Amino acid sequence: MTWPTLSSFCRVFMCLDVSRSIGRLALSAFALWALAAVQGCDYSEVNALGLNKNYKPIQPISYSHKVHAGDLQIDCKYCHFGSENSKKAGIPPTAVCMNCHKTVKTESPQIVKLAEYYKKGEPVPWIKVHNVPDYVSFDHSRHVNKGVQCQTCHGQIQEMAEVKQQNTLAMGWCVNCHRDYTKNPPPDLKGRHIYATTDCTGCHQ
Amino acid sequence: MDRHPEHREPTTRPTLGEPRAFQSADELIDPTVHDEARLYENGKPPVVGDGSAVERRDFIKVLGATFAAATTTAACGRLPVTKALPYADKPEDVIVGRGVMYATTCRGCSAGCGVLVKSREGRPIKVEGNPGHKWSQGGACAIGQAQVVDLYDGDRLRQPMVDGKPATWKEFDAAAAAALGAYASDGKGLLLVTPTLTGPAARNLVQAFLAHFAGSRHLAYDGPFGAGAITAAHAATHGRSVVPRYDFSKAAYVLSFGADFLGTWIAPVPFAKQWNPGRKVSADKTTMSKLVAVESRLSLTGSNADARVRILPSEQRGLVLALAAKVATAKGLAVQGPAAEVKGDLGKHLDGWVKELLAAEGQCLVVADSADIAVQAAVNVINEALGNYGKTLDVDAPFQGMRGSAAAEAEVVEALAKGELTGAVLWGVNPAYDSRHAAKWAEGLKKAKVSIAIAGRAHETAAVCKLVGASHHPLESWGDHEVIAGLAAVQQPLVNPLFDTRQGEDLLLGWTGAVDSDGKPQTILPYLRLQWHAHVGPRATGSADFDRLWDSALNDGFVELQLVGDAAPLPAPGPAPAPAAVAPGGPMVAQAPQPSDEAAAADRADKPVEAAADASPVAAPAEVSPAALPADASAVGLPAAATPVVATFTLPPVVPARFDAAGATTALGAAPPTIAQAGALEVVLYPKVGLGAGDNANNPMLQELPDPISKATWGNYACLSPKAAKALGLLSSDVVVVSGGTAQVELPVVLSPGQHDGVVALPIGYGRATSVGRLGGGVGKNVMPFAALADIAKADVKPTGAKDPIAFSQTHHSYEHRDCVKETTLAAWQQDPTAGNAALDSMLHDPNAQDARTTRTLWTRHQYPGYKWGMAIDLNSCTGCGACVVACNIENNVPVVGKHEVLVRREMHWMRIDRYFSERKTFVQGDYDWQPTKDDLLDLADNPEVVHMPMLCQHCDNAPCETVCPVLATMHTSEGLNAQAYNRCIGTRYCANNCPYKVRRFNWFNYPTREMVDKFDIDLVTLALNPDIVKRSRGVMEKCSFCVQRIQEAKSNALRDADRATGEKRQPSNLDELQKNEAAGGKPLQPKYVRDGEVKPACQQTCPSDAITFGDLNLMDSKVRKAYEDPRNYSSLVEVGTQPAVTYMTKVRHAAEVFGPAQPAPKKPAAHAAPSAPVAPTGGTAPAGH
Repeated sequence: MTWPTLSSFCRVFMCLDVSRSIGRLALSAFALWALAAVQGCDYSEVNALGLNKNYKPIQPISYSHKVHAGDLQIDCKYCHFGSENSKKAGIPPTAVCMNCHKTVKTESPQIVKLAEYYKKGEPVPWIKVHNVPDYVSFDHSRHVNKGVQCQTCHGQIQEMAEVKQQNTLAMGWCVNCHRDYTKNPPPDLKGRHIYATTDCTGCHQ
Repeated sequence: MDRHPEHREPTTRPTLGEPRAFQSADELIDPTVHDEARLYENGKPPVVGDGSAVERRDFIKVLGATFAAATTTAACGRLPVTKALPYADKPEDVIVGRGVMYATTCRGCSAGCGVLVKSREGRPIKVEGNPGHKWSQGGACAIGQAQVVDLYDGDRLRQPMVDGKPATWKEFDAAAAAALGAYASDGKGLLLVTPTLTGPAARNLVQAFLAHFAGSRHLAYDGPFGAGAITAAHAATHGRSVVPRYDFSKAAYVLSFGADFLGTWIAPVPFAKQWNPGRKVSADKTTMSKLVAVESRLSLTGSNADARVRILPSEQRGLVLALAAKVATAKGLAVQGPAAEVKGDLGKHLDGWVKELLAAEGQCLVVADSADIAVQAAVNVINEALGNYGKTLDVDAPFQGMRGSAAAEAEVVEALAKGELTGAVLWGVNPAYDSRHAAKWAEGLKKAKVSIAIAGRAHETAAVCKLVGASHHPLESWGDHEVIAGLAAVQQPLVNPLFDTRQGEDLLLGWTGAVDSDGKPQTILPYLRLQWHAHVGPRATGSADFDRLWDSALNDGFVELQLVGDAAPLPAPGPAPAPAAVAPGGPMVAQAPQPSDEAAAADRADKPVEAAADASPVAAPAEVSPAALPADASAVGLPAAATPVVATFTLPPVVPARFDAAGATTALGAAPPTIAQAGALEVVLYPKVGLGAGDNANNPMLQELPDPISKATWGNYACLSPKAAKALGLLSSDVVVVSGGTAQVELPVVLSPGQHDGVVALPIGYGRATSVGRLGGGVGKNVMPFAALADIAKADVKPTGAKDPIAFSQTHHSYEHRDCVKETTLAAWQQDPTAGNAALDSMLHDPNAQDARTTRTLWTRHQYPGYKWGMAIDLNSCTGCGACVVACNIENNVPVVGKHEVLVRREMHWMRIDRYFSERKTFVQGDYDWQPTKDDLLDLADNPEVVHMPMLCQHCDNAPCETVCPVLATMHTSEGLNAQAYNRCIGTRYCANNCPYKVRRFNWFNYPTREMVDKFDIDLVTLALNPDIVKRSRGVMEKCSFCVQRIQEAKSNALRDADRATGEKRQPSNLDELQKNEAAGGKPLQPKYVRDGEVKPACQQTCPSDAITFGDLNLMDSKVRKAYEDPRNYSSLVEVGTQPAVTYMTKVRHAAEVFGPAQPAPKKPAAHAAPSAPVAPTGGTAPAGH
């Protein structure tokens, strides 16, 4: 699957505001079929709703998870401290970066850029990589506190110099795990009363 | 509604043409009047050009263009980029993705309820009652709930105004300085008008203002319906100018003369909280308090009364005085009033009340809503004679939220008009609209040299003032309140001001030249701390450390104080305690002034008391000025402390008030109310439960909240009794001219059962100036001119022949007269706990059925291995106030649709309160086969009984909606919720058509529609949305979700406790079951970590009457399970077999002895016992699913 096809699907998807209606989904599927036919790519593959898989946008600051999480072994939760307490893991406030970078590598052009944002009190305009639709309610704390590894959803993030979306984050992908985890919890989670719901209201509120 | 269908043969069932019960009185006159409504039960389908934001043709056009665009840009398209913007420096108490609650005080009215406001990333999004608050006890009303919508109203003043034009603060300050300079040149004095201020800081600020501008006067103005007569009567009878602190919780018998204490009178939320426990009945508590309402129109309180008597407003005085004379004589109280004998039916009622009152000495309460001092004095005499003082009402720890006086207002407005004052500063009041002297106010203010309004909106008073200081919204403001003596509350800001506004206190501090210890202009937060240090600290009963006291006040919302007597003189405030380096204040108030110079603070702490007092920023007033705070203003007068440590003082004790018989006798002879003689009908002006006196007119949530009794939205109307209307040939929505003397207004009619035939009732608060806001300005008509005519105005009503459709909500979701309300009398219930509810089994003709709520089904049952969420609503408690409706709307992002959309039955409320009028006559006579004539039916509307029934998605086990959805968008969850996946819905509306409860709402449009879109600032209103809830789009069905987001949040919180090493280690309540199941290798079970009471849907949280219980029906000792097993519990429309998770509790009333013959003997005398073997809602063992 190639990027232009994917993104064109998304464009159609967004333009029609189909996100809440299967009727319109059918409409967009028709449009998609038409597009796919024009471009000669595989319709079934595009239709798999793995829309953003492999998405790897260019970030305003070339932050490397490989350096921080991989090489330096900084705990994910040092920066994404919301992951245990909140639905949102959270992008760390710039002040958290500056905890170290007040003294570490202050001359690096990227850190200079970061420091400028901090000085101005502006947020760093990070591009969101893992993005589920508004009608999905995902709670990080539930998963993290139950022992689900970050990598289960986000891939081998400690090896990524640039973050890439490893999984589709589509409903089928979530639900598969919810079925399997409950039936066969990983050995280290035995005895922790693992139960992952497949009710609609688990995610759609 | 039909009380007893089970006893009636099919041939006697009512047909559509013969309503035995009615939802609107119109159908008594014209049975076909709501036929159209029954056709379109889920809203009329739109036609082209009906006001939708996008018309169909436009939509097709756009669709075409989209295809074209998509095709051309396909090859080079890119993924839409979403940004994730973090805080640069996150405030400590913000947790991204989670709400934080802050305690503050509601300023929606003068009741002073404690509220918790939920803040998400710095945005206040929801107001909730503060459960720990000693006065409001966790309730919040519709107006309080809607304050958060008010905050994001773009039509609030965005900057100050000078001479009617927007100006900068610099220009305003210059103009204000010049204007206040005029005071110096003529020295006549200024008039400061505020609502009643109760907090120590606020009251001392007024004193400072009066001291700075010598000769000035202060008027406490409580809006059109103050409690001035109560205050004056207590001054005469008990020597205290106060409104007592009523305690309905101790009253077993309440007699109310027009006082709508559950709806609008003084402090409805605290009163409802107090009143409710006495109304609960259970196996442990088989008695119930009794309420008798004597009133001219059907008020919310009257609709909840056990007995109701209709009187004319002009009859009230004679009746109350006669009652006082009888009670005083019976109790030997030496008071003589001008009481005449009351004859006829009223006389019989009177004797009945005397008997009932004497039987409940010391545990009864008589209240009256009247501006007549003699009536209030008579009420005091009755309460005194019955020994109620100190028990059901208290003047020693009074309610302080209303101290205004009508006489004082009349006097100062006259002085202003005559030019005896230089001018006026009006802060937070709007007398040019809502006073009975409105015209005089406007005239006086126009003439005055100085006229400054400090206002949040460009309202009618601001329009006639030369200067308008734009003030913060209460949710952006600091403040303090002591509405109940001995309970000091803090009001803290939830958000930085949205617009270029200032806090009213800051303006006053500036004008009085107040400076802090560094010589800089004083501002509110340090001033507040200073005042609290001086006046609250010494009275605080707990903490000795001021910072700790302050923090606990911010955390809890209030502190309890020792009561003090009147002996202490007014002191100078003490030195400023050093504010903490970071103000422990609200979220995101970085702008809040914090002069935290540590050195200076240390310096101050070292100064001796005298020196510190000299340096105090606000000069001590030499004496209380003429119109200043009355009576116990000195309650705040305490010696100053020199250090941040709260010292202990010997406080003057409270001397109990004594009854003064001579004073009472004088007060009973007060001048009678003036009666205008212009017309045939007496005019009753009343505030609506949702709108008050009109301050909230621009609040769309409140405009669209159906009135609890009339069920009308958007606009006011003239209420006539059905008989009066029939005599004039009128039905609802017919326009009439109401004219009396100089006042005249054209309004549509609402037929109002229960209203006196000689009364026309007009809701106030409408007809606001268009400058108030785009939504509410110009909605309805201003009826205040009738108040100017006389104490009791009279008017004629003439039909005009025109129609002005009123947007009612009650007749939209017709049940076709199916029985859904169950009620009984207390006597019958005491004999048989299933009274009124006993016929379920016989009705279903199922000899094997033990529990009709769960046993009859054609389907295989769902299984609920973990939680099974359920709700029980006690019709005995529900007063119908509508707080839950607004709470639900705000929690769940329910759109406001506008008058046109309500008229075509497309309102979106997930929760509604159905109001049923019912036939007292048949019930009392026990004549079930009575065939009424049309005139009989109108008799029923004279004084009907009323039941309020909250109706929301019933989350049926056998949900009719689920079986018809072609795309499985509505599904049953393993926890018993009827889930609606909006993103799956394709909008067939089959589900809504198949729902017997009519609780599903269809998004006909993307809201707001064209009708509303120009009246909002969408960018602002969006900030009030709850981010935990999806905003639904056009073409999608929606409905109550049982606040599933709150269930999920409670589970997350519980799991956090369970899974993490820190904090309490929770164990699931079904641990045994889990372990057994795991050992047996069974299908995984959900561990139940959530405890009973941890999930509270928005409706339950706010309910001032605790009518709603929610929880896990599978948990045998949960409150909801107990309610489920109560013999009063029933399912609405049980005969359709839907097996709802929402159940109701039979309404129990005192039999209306005074109205007619005795009750029919109960059919099934039985002892109070648990019902026979209730069947668990988990059902049998058959596999789940349909």
